[in-house]
Amino acid sequence: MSRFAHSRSITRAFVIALACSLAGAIVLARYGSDTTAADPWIFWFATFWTIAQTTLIAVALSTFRSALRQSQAERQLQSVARLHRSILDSAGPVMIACDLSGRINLFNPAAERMLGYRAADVLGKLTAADLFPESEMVRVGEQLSASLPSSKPHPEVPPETADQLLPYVRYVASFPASRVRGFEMRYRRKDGSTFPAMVYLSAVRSSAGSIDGLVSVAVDLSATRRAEYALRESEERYRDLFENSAEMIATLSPRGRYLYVNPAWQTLFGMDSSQFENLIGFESAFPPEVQAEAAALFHKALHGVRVERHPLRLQNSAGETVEVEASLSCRREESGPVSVRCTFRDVTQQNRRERRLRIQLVVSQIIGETTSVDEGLTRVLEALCGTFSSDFAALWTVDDAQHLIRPRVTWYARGRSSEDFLRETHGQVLARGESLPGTVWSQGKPCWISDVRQDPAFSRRGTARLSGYVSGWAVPVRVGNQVIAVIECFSRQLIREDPDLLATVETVCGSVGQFMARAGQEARLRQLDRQRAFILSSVADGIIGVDSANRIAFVNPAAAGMLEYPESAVIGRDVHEALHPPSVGCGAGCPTRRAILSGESASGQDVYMRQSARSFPIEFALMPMIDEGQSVGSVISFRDISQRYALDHMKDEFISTVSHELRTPLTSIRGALGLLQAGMLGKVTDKASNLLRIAVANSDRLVRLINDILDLERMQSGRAPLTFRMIALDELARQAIEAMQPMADAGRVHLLCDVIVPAPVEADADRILQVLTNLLSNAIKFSPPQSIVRVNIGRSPDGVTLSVVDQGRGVPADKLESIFDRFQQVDASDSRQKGGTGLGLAICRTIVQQHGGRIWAEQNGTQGSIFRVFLPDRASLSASGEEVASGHSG
Amino acid sequence: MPRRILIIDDEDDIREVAALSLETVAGWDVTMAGSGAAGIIKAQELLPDAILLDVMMPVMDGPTTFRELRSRPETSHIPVILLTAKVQAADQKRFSDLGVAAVMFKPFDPLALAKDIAAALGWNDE
Repeated sequence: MSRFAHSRSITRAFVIALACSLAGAIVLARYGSDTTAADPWIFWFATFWTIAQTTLIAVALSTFRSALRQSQAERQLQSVARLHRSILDSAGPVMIACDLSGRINLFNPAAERMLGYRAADVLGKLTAADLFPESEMVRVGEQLSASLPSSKPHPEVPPETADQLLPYVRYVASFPASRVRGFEMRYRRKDGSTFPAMVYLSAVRSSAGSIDGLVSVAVDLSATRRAEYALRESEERYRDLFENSAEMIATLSPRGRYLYVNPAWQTLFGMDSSQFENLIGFESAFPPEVQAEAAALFHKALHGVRVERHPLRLQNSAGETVEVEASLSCRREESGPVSVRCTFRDVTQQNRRERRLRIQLVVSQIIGETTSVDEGLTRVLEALCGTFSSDFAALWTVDDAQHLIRPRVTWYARGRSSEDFLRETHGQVLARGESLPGTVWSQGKPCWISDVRQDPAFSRRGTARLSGYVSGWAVPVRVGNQVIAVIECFSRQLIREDPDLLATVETVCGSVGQFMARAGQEARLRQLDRQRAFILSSVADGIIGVDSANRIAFVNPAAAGMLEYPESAVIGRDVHEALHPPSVGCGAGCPTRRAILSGESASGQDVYMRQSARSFPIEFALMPMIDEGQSVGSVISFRDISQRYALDHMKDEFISTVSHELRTPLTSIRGALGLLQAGMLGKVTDKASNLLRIAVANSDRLVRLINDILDLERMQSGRAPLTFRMIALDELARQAIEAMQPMADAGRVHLLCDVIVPAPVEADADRILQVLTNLLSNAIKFSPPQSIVRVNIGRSPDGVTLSVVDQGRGVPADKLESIFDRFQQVDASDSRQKGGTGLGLAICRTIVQQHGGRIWAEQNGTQGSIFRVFLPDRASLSASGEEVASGHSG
Repeated sequence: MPRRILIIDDEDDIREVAALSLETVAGWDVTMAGSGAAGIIKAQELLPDAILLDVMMPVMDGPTTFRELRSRPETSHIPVILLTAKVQAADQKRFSDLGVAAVMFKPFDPLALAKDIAAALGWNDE
């Protein structure tokens, strides 16, 4: 029966009871006043009836009220149910319930949205395990089991609970409902993707209080995770920014206590954060020399002055000099300053780089624009002092020859007196290894003295103390590997060794070294130029420099003087026209023109014209100027040989006269002796005849000697020019043999033409005949009777070789060469015994050399000697660029 | 008929030796003059077959004497042989260019002098 039908029946029963009660009451009222009037039974019946009815009414009322209350409760339950439904439907979190077998019996719309299933597809069809990734339930279950207090016994779990739900049911059962903590789990969507969720689990209990199932409320944590991640990232970024910043960051309280220091700050000062926390003031972390400056900066910042990039120089924990830019600012609130932010930026490298570049630039400019070496070096010292906070600098130059080093230039800052130190510096000459400059010179590397006043090896420490110099350093100036100078600097401040400073100065010293070397070379070049100019001006020979277009680029005073032109008047003129004006009309055979056009070295004689149109004989030499394989012009040197001509003429005259004056008495002697010896003037005794023979022979020898001396002198002076023409050397040899035949016959020596090939050669026939005759004469003279003198001729690609082979006494090996010198014979008595003059072979050599040939002697095996004459082809001679002395035709 | 030779030389000794040589070796008739001027006069007087003329003589040297002889009709035809101690090539050329019959050099072989003169002058019968 429905609650409504039950209520109607109660109402009906109540109305009946009420009607009965009313009837009883009426009866009582009618019969109550007169009990006798009515039957007492009726009275009592009516009484009891009324009471029963009233009770009944009360019961009915109670029942009605109860039914009404139940109805209201039911309505409330229905309202709650609707509310629950509404909550379930509209709730954001996923709500899923399942029974103890895991079968899902509640799946709210949020679950549908989040997991992608429709409730109809899930309810009664899927189990809880289907909503999680594989093994997720096991993993979380283990975590939950592990989280349970081990001291308490596990609560009882309904036996029908599925295994996979056991830890969950046990977990829920272990805590009061309000104490069950949520846990994280990953859900799996229908499409297989997963998401994290915070799961709050509760038990579904029966009216008896036993657990019937589980309800999970899950909140998607994806967004939360993302937000957390973003937050964490953001925090991490800031933390990373500070912790890994190369800049040094510190936050201090207004009292100067360190609140935060990043690792870079800790590294700079070599302390950890706890040590900073113990410091009493900002400046306490700094080295003593910069504490006052640091305190001032903090004070400024605290009072609202923003400190921006203030340069600070301090030693870091490793003892290295660090340059920082300090920026300090104060964070304020209404109550006053809250904290001071302090940021240091390490600009050491940047400053070094800038300093290095600046000093290099300055030094380059100085070197580039300075003409005076000492002035340039002084300015370099000044620049070094300015850049590296030094007050005195000196450059010492090495004197390798004397093994000494001495000061060359100095510079010092104006102000406090440095005269004593300067004077002592200039008065010093140091040996290798002595004092600071000598040490750097010997070691070839920089040297730093933190306190020169205390250094016993520093020779000027006394005056350094007086002048207030404290720290000093010196750097070698090198060219290649050679130390040529040393630069030293002194500062009135105590400066710790700064390897970077030394490295920078070493770089600068490289430029200084090149500058000094170049200046030295330039000085030498200038000196050389002056010497050359002096030589060119002093030399008596005319020298003309010609460019590649054959125009005069240079003319020395001698040349200008000989040509009677001002030097400036011939510069730029065509060289040939300057030497041979067109009016002369010299032809193609002009030696100078040929030499200029040939582009090769050449020499010869010519006649040049003065401006006054007077000619003068010259001897010239042309030398091409080749630069890197290219002809850039030539140099013509020439000499006025007018005087030589005159002298030659005088000499000729003298020789001619001497010859004449010697011959004239000889003529009488020779003639007289000849007539006497021949018996033309009467018979003479044998002894007299012998004496006359000796006298005739010696007068003949005297004549030959005079002839040979004259010949040799003329040939060697070049005044016996050769006349070249094609001759048959073989024919010439036959003529010589024929001419010498009588002499050979007299000595009973056999003259043989051995191997003679046709040998045309360009030569002066008379002179070559003279050579052959001489050689044959010698061979015959020094050959024993019945021996053979052979003549043979051989041809080679570049010339002809004629050999005279004898079987005479031969020439010792040590005299094979010297016999061609004047008056040098194998035996000093030869000239007397053999009637030779001692000049024959010298004449032969002169003649052969004038042909560009060669004459030499060899030993002929064990007996005799071979004299060979090589005459080159004139064509090959020209091709090889040689020029035969006095070889000009005519 | 022996050849008549005029020797013009300022050197007495050479004149003597040369004359002796030509006279004894060849049997020629030799007349001597000690200077160019004297030689010209003697040449004009004697009209010798040949003149042996020294080059280097004071006042009037050989070439001048030669040109004088050539300039006079009576002596212009007489062959002149220069006998000189100047043996340099340039001298030789200069002498040859004068137009003399021959140039002979001092010192000479006294035994060959006459033969050399005859050869130079084409006296084949000597």
